[in-house]
Amino acid sequence: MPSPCHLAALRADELDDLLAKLPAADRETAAAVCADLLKLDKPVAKLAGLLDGKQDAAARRAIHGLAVHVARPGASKERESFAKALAEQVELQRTTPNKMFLLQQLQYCGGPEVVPAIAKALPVEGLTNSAAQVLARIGGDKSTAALRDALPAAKGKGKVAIVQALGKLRDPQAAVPLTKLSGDKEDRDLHLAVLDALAQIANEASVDTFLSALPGKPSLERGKTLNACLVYAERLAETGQAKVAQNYLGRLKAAVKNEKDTALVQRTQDRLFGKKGKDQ
Amino acid sequence: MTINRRDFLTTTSAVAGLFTIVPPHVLGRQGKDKPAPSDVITRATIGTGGQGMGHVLQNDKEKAIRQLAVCDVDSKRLSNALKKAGRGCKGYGDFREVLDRQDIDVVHIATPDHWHALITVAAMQSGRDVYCEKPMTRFIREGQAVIATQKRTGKIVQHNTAGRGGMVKYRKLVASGLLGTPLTVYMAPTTGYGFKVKEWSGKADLKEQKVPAELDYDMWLGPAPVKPYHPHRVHGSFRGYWDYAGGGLSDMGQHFIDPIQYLLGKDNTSPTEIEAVAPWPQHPEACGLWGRVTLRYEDGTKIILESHEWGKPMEGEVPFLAGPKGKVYRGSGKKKEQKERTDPDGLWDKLAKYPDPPKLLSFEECLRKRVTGPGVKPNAEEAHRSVSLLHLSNIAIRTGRKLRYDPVKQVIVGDDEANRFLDVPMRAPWRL
Repeated sequence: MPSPCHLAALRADELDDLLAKLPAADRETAAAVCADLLKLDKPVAKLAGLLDGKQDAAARRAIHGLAVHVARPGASKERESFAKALAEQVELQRTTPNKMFLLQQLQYCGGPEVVPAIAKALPVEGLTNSAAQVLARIGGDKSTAALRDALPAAKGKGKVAIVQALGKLRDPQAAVPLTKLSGDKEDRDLHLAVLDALAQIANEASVDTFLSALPGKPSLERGKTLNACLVYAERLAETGQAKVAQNYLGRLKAAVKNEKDTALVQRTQDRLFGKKGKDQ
Repeated sequence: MTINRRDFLTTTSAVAGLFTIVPPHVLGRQGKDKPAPSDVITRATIGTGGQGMGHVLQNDKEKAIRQLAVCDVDSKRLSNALKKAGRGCKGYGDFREVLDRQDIDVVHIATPDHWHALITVAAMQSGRDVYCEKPMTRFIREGQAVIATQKRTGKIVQHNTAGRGGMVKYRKLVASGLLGTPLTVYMAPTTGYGFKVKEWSGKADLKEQKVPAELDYDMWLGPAPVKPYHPHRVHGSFRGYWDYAGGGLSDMGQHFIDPIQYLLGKDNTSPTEIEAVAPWPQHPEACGLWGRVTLRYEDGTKIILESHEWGKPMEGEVPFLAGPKGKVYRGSGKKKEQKERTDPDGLWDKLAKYPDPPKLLSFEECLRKRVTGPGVKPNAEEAHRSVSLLHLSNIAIRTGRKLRYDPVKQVIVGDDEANRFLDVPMRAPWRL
């Protein structure tokens, strides 16, 4: 009877054999190899254990291949199981680059089942950006709640990443905390990210925030701010708030006090409401 | 109040849309050889590597266009660009400082691909027209953002791809109906299209190296994920990495595909089925090999791309352009025009009685007339549609799945996870 060590060695050989078959010349052969990989005992842990070693490139290819393979239509149970195992490895990996690599793979296959694990990575320095990106992919109430919870303590680019994710998900509950942040104009990146996010959320209560947002001198910052003001109008119109949008654009046109910017506001009015928008 | 040409163009194009023609006499012209200051187009070039230097003018030789700024995250490259531009040109390491200036009309973008859309959008938001290198974007949602910003700002945007001008006669042939429909286009080295697949493949075994002093690596990465520095990631060879580009397919591809969309009259649509033959899985970072991609439009039109660098290519002489009533064969290499023939013979002679397609305008003509086209180079919508074929091809290669695409909604149908490839997350603070 083979010893446990012998069995472990056999399994390692089996893993090596399967890795050697990838990439395969056709999708069907590759699918069969993926299925065999997933039948191994704790395949994700085994593959993650090979990162940074001699088999690093093969392990990365296999993990990525599996992430894409399990995300095929009609394989939701396989996907959930794989994604959970991948999310567990994010915490167990020792280096930040490897944790980021696994988070990047979760962008392809992660679903609501991994939100609690990803939420743990949100406050970790160096991982906030990657974790926020995964949650923005997954979406849903659990993702937005996790992002909102992490927002107050986040700093620097990590805070910007969380704001961007909330904007991407158009989370209506984020409007209040983001409006509070919009008052801080010291951090240019954060301020613009907040405006972009509020524009996407398209809450009527943000009108005054946008009307007071434009910096004085012509600059890229002014251009980006005006762009956010116009996107806000577009999103108001898209979300059934046309009257609010028309009224807001009229006030914005009066507020810009600059010929070029007035022309851009007018252009948006015309695009959204036709030439009649001029008079409203 | 005085108004210069720059302010006049910005305001009128924003108010009146894209069709305001401003004859030089409206704002004055001085003599035959000396354009009035108001006629001079001022330019900034962002990205001054091998391709970018072609966008840097020599101020002592140019009169109608002045190079006011050059920008690069590599100080050696920036220094070379400044030397070339000469007097009156200032150098920058951060493109945002260039866009803060108020005296620049046009921004030329020749950075790596992962910066193209971001800088295009920012340039338009700051009030500039844009001429951007191919490929227009790195993923499909970027193209939609460029178009949305172009519509919002009314700026002129064109993309540097080669070949529309050379395809006018093919467009006329297709429009004449002499070939019949549906048509099949075959693009492979044997018909003049080499995709440089191996040349622009990435390496999967990069070991971290020290960042050279002249390079601002964080700014070079920009929206891309932080990865350990290796010289193969940056500068010319960046094309081999998914984080920054899409391999030979998207590098050469937009040069090739854009004129095909034009000749087929499909500048405003996309294929509905995409299928690839390629090794699978692809490496998560390094772009790899592929053999064939077939793209089918709703009306049955088909484009077949073959690399001839992996797998078995189609056998025999395959026509470049084929329909049920006629075919065009063309060879490859320098004398490909001489090898061109039609079946039946004499199809070109029959074209004389058909109308010519509209004249294609240069970028400078489009700038001066404030029109977006028809251009020798594609505008934002045309370029987005042509580069979409390459992004969809790469998604088919990377997923190993046959894709069904909705050209109106611009989503992959019935495959939610494949749709994740349409919108690649950006590292904060960068976003569209």
